Amino acid sequence: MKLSRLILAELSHRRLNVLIAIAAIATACTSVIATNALLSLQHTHSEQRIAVYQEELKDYLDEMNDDFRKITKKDGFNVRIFPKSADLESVHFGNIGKFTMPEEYASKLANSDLVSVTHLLPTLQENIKWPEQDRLITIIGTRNEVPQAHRNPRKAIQESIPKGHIALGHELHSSLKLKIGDPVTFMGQTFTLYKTHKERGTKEDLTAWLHLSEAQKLLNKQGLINVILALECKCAMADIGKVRKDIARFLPDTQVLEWGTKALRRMEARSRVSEGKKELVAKATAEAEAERLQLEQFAAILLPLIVIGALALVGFLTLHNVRERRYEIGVLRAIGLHSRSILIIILGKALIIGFCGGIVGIVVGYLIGNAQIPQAVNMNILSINEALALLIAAPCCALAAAWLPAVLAAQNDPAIILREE
Amino acid sequence: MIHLSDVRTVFQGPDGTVLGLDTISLSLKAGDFVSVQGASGSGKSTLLLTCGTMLAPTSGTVTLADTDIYSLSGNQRAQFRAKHIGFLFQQFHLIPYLSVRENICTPQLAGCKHASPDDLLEQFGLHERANHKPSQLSIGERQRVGLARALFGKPKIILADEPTGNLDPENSAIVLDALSTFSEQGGTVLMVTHEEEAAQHAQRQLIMNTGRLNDSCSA
Repeated sequence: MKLSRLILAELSHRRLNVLIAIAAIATACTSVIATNALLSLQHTHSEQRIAVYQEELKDYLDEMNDDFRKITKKDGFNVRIFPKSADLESVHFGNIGKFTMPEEYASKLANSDLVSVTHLLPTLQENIKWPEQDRLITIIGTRNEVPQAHRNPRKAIQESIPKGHIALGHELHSSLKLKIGDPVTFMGQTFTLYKTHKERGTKEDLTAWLHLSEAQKLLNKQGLINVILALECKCAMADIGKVRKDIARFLPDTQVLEWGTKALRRMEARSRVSEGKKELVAKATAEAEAERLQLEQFAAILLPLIVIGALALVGFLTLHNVRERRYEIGVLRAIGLHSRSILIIILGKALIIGFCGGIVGIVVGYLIGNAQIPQAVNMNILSINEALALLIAAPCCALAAAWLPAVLAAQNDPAIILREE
Repeated sequence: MIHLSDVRTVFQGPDGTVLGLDTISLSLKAGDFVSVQGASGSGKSTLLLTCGTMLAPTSGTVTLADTDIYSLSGNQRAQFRAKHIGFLFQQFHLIPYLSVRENICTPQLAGCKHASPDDLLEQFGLHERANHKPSQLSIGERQRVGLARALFGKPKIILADEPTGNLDPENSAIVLDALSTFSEQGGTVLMVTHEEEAAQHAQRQLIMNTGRLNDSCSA
């Protein structure tokens, strides 16, 4: 007879004890599989949800780009053409009086074969002190649009100021209490108030508009301008870069800046919406991550508790078994078995229980997982490696749980046991 | 075969020290069948366990088969038991989940040389019970299984603790006859018993009183 026969016979004899221990190990294994599956499922759901959000965002951005292209194609760009020598600081702060270019540049552009540039308005502007009112203002001289040779006449986008007239920004005419038709003395000359602008809340409330030739004369810059406005420039590609290149071909010593384009403003508005959408996706991602972390933290507490509980039960059952077999162990020692053999008998049983519990746990966990997780979710409940790891871990854990009772049994003094008889 | 020289065993009890064996000297040679009688607590079981290599004396020497047994390690003594000693208990101490045949063969777990289990089954009238569990046997049959187990390892010594204490006269006779046969074949038997009739089967009867052996009862 061999020790293995003794172990198997004892397993068969104390079936209830063995089945409870196997169930404890199986429960622990099933819990590991279920937790793993739950975390994987949550991760898969999160990924799918984020993927849907990202897909929606992509569609939205594509649609927006398409809209932008269509809108800009219809509305065109507004550009300002400055002398190349004008630095950006002066341009942005409206202090470009010292930079000038010939007025004929506007005609040169108008007479070119460019189709992307329309509504050309040559302008001279400068910041000056209105001597009669002792106020700093911007004087702007404009004229009618320069007719373009290769195009049919178009409706003017901007109305010109007739000679002998002046238009004033809101701050100027309201502070001076002027009405249309009132005489206005400006830089030693008298003009008739042609137009009063509504309040805009910008520096344009401090501007005085004159006919270009009269402004040139007052500023002593005959034949000079410093800005050409090109409004609603069309471009099939909706590309400001192309407009710049076209202008540079004819006016190489100028620079082109985009400004106040309607399409651009719409784009900015939609960009904000896009940013909002991106924030929503980021928020959903963060929420999914937080949910996953929360679940992991919960599992990190619950799972060890289940495993420890199962091992405690196996340890307790082994201890109970060892106490129940006290005389048996005493007799086995008396007939010559080493304490090592007693250790093998107890731990061998634990090893078999752990192995059986591992197999049952894996099978039950796999079946429950497959039954609970929707088939639509293409998820592997348990990989071969994970199953093997569990199959190794379960007997090892059972061995650890049975170790102390086994050592106590092996250390039993047979003389004490037999004297108790 | 068994030689005890000035063996003294003292236990620490809750009310102080208890004298188990009081300076006992005893010699049993091969073929001896010795019984020890005495009241409960007189030290009979202590003597048996001391001879069985499981209870080291406080002082004195125990020599079994020319070996100073308590100079050996625990595992070496276990090996010695497996090789030289068979035990017979009043409560049989059969392993409940093993069959009769397997119970008889348990000394094999300790790796000792062994007799044929079938011969033993036949010898003690157990061949029809070979595959039964101990719970399915009568009291007498259980002790016969215990006796077959004690003889399975072909021991030189049998230590019997009240072997007939729970048996009817018929089964008592079977057990005592088997022990007599064992001693006649050169084995040494040390039997502890309460029963005068059982003690009469031994070649030599000893009386134990408060840890001391009375030699005046020698047959």
